[in-house]
Amino acid sequence: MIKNNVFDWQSFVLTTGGFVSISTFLNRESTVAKPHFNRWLVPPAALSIHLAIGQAYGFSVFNLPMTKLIGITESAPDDWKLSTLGWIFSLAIVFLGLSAAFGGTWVERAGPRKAMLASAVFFSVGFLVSSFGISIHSLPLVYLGYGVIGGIGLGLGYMAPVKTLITWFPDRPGMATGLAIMGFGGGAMIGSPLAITLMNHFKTATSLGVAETFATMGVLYFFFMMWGVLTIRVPAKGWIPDGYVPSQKVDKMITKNNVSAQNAIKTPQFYFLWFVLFLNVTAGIGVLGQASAMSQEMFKNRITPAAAAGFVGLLSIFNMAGRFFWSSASDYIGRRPTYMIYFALGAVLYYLVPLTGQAQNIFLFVAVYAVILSMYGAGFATIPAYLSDIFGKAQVSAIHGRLLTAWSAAGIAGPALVNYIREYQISQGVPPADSYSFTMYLMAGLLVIGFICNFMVKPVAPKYYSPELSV
Amino acid sequence: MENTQETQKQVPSWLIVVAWLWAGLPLAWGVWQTLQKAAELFK
Repeated sequence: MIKNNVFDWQSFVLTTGGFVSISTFLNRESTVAKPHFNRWLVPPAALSIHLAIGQAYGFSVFNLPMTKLIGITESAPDDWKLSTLGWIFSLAIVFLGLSAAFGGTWVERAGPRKAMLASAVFFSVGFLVSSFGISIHSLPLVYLGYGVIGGIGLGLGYMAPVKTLITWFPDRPGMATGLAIMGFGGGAMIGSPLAITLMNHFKTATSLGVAETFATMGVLYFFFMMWGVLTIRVPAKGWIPDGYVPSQKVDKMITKNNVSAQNAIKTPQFYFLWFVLFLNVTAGIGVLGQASAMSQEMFKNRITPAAAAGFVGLLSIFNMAGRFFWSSASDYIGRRPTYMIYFALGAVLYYLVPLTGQAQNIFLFVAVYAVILSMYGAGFATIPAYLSDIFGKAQVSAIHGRLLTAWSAAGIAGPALVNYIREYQISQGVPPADSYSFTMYLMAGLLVIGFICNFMVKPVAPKYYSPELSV
Repeated sequence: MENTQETQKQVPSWLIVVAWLWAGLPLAWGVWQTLQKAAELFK
């Protein structure tokens, strides 16, 4: 069925008649790679999942057209309001966190192929249900489709390839997970222009083409993700890369033991790392949402709305690239020192942002913001390798899934914190351009707390080890 | 699955190239689109 580690569709159909062997094909045992398998086939498999589900970050491209589905040229009284549409993305992120938290153990048991297929099905069906919801103008169906069903696809897909990459690249786990999670950061850069292109294609005098775009994207993403499903492999037990000699140097921060997911959540390390992720994401998400407005208000008459959109685009490139760069660097400088950099350098840079505005130096403003966003993305990308160092590889997906609840919490806390503080300040008479300063200082403060949490991460006590677990 | 009957050949190089193109081309297109938009900032 698998020749040279490549799935052979012809023999699949001819010899099995299909259905019985589908379940065999999806089993973890069927994904075990033969000797001489090239591990560089695995990162693109992971990328095909993360690039697809990363589309979620570009969902806002649908917001404006979805407020004019009836009125077409302008919002009609029965059209959906922007405030209600915001719940679609929020629901998707909440269900990402929930499915990661509750589905992590299943992903661990089922193996990457089954989990990636489940992700592809959920994510695509989410689009199709939403498409139907849009065509009959039912917002609850869109919530159910993209928010709930699609959100579950996001969570499963986000976790699915992470452990596989760590086991294929024991010599460079940070780089490997950085590559995949970079895809999640880059997904919006594909999803947004793709959605605009499709909406323009399907647009008619009586329709904005949104429902058709959702349906098309659902089908396209399903096929795109199937590449990952078909080509993903896990290494055989005990496999190590050619020429790789595990370091004999004792590093207390890299365990050779394994901790189960059940035990991991009983350790203080898990909660310190939860806050490490939560605080890094809260600060990053908070300023990311404000980037466009902040740039225009700090540099009045110099940064236009079009230039501000370009600024946000540039930030998304740094958000993506930072995931690969910093996570790869963590393989050399260690996970804890890398997070020390995120928090220490981040706190200094957040503090500097208002000063660049006062100095009216656009270049410095952009440069500071770019580095901040690179470390925001890197916080996501480095955490799986950090968890693997602290808790071992055996159940890293399940532990990662539970930790991702920090992301959902930060998704609510970050924007709320920034928006409420800004509104309060403006109501107290602070000029809009100056209202960002306090927010930035507060975010710098959050990063200082994050620094302390990271500093508190120590090796796990032996009583939490689970010797029955193996990779 | 008849994994035991398989020959143990290496994965062909073209498959590695196709795999990276599969993921890399859409990403490169997305980055290009974003860079074009970002150029507005420096005009």
